[in-house]
Amino acid sequence: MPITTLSSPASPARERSGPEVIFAEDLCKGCELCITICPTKILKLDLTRVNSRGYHPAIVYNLMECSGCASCAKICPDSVITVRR
Amino acid sequence: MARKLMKGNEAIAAAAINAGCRHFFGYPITPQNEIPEYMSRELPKIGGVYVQAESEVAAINMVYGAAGAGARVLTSSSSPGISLMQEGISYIAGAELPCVLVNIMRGGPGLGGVQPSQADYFQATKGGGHGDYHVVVLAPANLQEAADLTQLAFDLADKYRNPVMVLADGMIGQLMEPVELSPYHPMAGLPPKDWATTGTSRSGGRRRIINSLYLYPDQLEQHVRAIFAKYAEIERTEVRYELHRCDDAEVVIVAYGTTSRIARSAIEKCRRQGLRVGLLRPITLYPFPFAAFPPVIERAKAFLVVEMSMGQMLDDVKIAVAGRKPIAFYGRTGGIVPTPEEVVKQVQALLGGPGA
Amino acid sequence: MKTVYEKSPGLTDIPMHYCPGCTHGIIHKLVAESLVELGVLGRTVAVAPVGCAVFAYDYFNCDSQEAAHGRAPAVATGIKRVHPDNIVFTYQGDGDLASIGMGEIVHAAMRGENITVVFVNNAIYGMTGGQMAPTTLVGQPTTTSPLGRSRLGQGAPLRICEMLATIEATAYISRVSVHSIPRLNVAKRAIKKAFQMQVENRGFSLVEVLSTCPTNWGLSPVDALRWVEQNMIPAYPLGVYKDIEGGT
Repeated sequence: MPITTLSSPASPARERSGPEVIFAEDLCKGCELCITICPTKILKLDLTRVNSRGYHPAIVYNLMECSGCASCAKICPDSVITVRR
Repeated sequence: MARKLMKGNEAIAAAAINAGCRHFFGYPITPQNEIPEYMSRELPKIGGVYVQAESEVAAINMVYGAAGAGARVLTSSSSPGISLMQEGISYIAGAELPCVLVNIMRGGPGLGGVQPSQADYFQATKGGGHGDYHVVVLAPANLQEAADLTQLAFDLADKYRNPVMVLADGMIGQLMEPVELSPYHPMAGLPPKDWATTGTSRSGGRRRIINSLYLYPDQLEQHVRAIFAKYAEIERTEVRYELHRCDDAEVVIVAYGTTSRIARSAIEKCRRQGLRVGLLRPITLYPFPFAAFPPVIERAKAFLVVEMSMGQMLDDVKIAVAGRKPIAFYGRTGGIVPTPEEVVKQVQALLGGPGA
Repeated sequence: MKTVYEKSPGLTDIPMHYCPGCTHGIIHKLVAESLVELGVLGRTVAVAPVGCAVFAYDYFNCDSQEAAHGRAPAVATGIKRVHPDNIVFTYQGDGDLASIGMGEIVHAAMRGENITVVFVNNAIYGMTGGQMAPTTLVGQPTTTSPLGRSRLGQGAPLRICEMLATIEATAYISRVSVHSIPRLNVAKRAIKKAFQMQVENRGFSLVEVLSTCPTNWGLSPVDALRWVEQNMIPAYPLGVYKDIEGGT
């Protein structure tokens, strides 16, 4: 299934040593728990598209601010998110 | 073990242990309490498990759990308690699990009475619980047979992955007779329990699920048809019955369990009066011995069904006889056990008085 | 790069059918992770309830048995008594455990059955479309209490942890929530501790997890988490109600 590894459109492509947040996108139900729980508020629903289930998937839009706390991954009921750092 | 004078309930319990049952879950109810009491004494001595459940509902669900985990498991109760177990029995049949159930029938309906009856025949053979399924029903007439059929029940349950019921009554449960339990050997060719929930590390990694839920109708239909293929096999190969003095019988008494013994005494009395009467005794109530009837129908003038109920096996006899000969019915209920003399009178009435 | 968080191998790859944002998914993860971390997954048997989690046997990566409504503690008793060295747990909602199954849960606790019970309390009957539960709050509207649960005729909610903690053979009873990350972390520790108690044969353990039902509460998943915090926790205080090891 499609997987999205996010380095955000807004951040320059450069050598990254920060955390990686990987979404198994087609499992996402757009519930927004990860968006609410994130302490640095770097998640949002991608309203420009829907996944194979018909939901707007959650994405990281500002990976620069990601602390790698994995709160998003922990709260996700569908185990959509993998965090590495 | 040598022949030993035992109470019927104890003989059934001892036979279960002899057949390898090491798990019993039950609840007290008259007139079968000697079964849980025996199990509570004897099972711990041999590393078995006795649990007195909080109700018959809980007990049958413990049976479901233990059967799913692969054990030979027994529960026992009496009529009202068996009513409580019906949902669980349906689940056990739907999940294709083996178990042995014992019903020591008492008077009903409702709280009824504690004396013997045969008024659970419909419940046992025509369903009881919801959905399309059958329970194999074995009906002993004496204590040795009760012990033997209890052991057979465990084998049949494992062979077909289905509940098997030993259907007795309060008379059989409370009688004392000599019983011999010979060393037990399981039926040949019993399949291994490679479906039991023992943990994936014991089963080589593949998850095992015990379930009766099939939300897609086509899957549920397929599942039920597969179970009924088993019942077709059971109906072909597991019928058991006895014919006693039917070769020249003008009246054939159809009776099972305690009433069959009474019928036997009545037949002796009738024969001394010159009345030609015999007994067709079903031993399996499901599968019902329909095939036993055709040879007997030819010679008989009439059938006499004797039950301790308002007429339940009577319906199956009507199907078997298919209108070819008249069927009379004699029933006592409420816990009353008919006497041989009452049955003799019925036979005399059918044959127009005592014979020459 | 080191993995900080990934999907637990205690879960299968089957996508979960739960509503978006339903806390069942979170609680399944905490159970699955605990079983893996304790190294007992290969000898675990799960007992699935009747309720939204009726398909739990599709999600836990171990052997399972489906139980009749409310009867899971009895089914678990049967399984555990056959293989006492297996880890047996039930996963039950508030109708399953606190209504039809009340007899079974009390008596499994009474006997000190060495099983673990995960009690998912969302104050409503989810699967059947939002009827009143024994744990529905006074004043809470449901499809069978359309004017809100009334003390008169419908009583006040049952507090399961408080009740079961009075039973002598219980080893560990605690109530947790998953509405925030700190609370989720406590919930994980509680669930893992409950399973640890079973591993050590200490007796009956139960963790009640305050949960959401966004669909039948008529709230968004995010607002539902807040409803737990603002309405359920005052009615169902979090904490450890029984711990034979003396923890709090």
